[in-house]
Amino acid sequence: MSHECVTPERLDSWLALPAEDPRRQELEACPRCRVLLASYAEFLDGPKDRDPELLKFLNAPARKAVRPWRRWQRPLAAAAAVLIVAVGLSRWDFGEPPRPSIQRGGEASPSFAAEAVAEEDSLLFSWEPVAEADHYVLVIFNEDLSERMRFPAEAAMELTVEMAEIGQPGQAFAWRVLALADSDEIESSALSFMQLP
Amino acid sequence: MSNSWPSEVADETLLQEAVQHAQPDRRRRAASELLGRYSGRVLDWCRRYGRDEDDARDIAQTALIRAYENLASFEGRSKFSSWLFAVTRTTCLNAVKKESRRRDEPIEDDASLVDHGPTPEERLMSIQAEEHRWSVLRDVLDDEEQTAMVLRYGEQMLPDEITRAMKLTSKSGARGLLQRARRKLATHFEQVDGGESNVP
Repeated sequence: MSHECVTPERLDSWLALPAEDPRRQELEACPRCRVLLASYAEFLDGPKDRDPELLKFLNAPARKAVRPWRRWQRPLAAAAAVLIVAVGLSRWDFGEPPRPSIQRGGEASPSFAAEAVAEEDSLLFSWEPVAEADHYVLVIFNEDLSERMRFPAEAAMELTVEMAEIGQPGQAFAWRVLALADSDEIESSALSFMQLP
Repeated sequence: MSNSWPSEVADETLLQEAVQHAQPDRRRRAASELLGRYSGRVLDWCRRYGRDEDDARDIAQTALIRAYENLASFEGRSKFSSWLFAVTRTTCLNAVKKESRRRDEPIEDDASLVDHGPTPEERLMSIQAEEHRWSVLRDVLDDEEQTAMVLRYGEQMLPDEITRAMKLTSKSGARGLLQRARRKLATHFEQVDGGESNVP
């Protein structure tokens, strides 16, 4: 008797088979399939109540889609960004603020390039792809380098954020991009300082 | 975020709206309704794997975020519920593996089986034909022991996680179940080998 273990895509059709169906019996004879089928049945029988707390991430600030025709603006805007960063650095209080904590075994060395470019009323953050990373997160820090907010970027290599979402005009902040694989932080960009125009 | 879909609206309809609607806010609300329908079930499932309630909620949220991020890639070859179950299950297993790597927890040992050649589970896993491997499990172990072995060696779950996943209430939990299973397998292989034993 040949047997092919059930795949998640087929769980519903297998579960719909009556217990006396030979195909179902064959499946139930395989411990692995039996565990998977029983698990899925238990999952479906779980509590139907909603947990809005778990869906709070859907209320995260909306991101603007970057239109391809605007990409040519980057070189020009990059020069403006350099100026902004320079101004921001000149006003930065270089006391001894607490450093933002980096998970995964202490301070991770910055390992991929990222830049921020000012566009009208938003900032375009972009970065190099990181091998093995399946998603990225932009982290914004306050002046005292405490974490202010995070913007999930999924698997994209750029993210547009409204300046108003980050803070008030003239407000200084720092940012970095985290590359994650399977929820593990694998690399991060250098911490960069900026001041909102 | 208020949703405007009655409960009889099919998951597939919501999915289509969550992926294809022209208005981002409408897409987001459809996704919220769709994932909200299963949020309790996802959390309940993740409680089997989490160290505590907070950990379970973290895993559940990771699963829901992952599902949300991949809604567009869902090809509709299965029902949404089974797809979400697969996403949740994978997220839970990854969380368990990550946690076990972090703790660097060794595989539990049964003192009676140490230093006497291949362990019963090594013997079992060395059986090339998967079909034959499962048939040995089936013939030698009871249902509960089979489940524990599949979760331990098929899914790489740790005994504590298996105890929670199987909702075992005995003091020894999955550890005892696995030890019992290994003893049975050792006896079985001893008989197969015709007296050549790997247990004392």
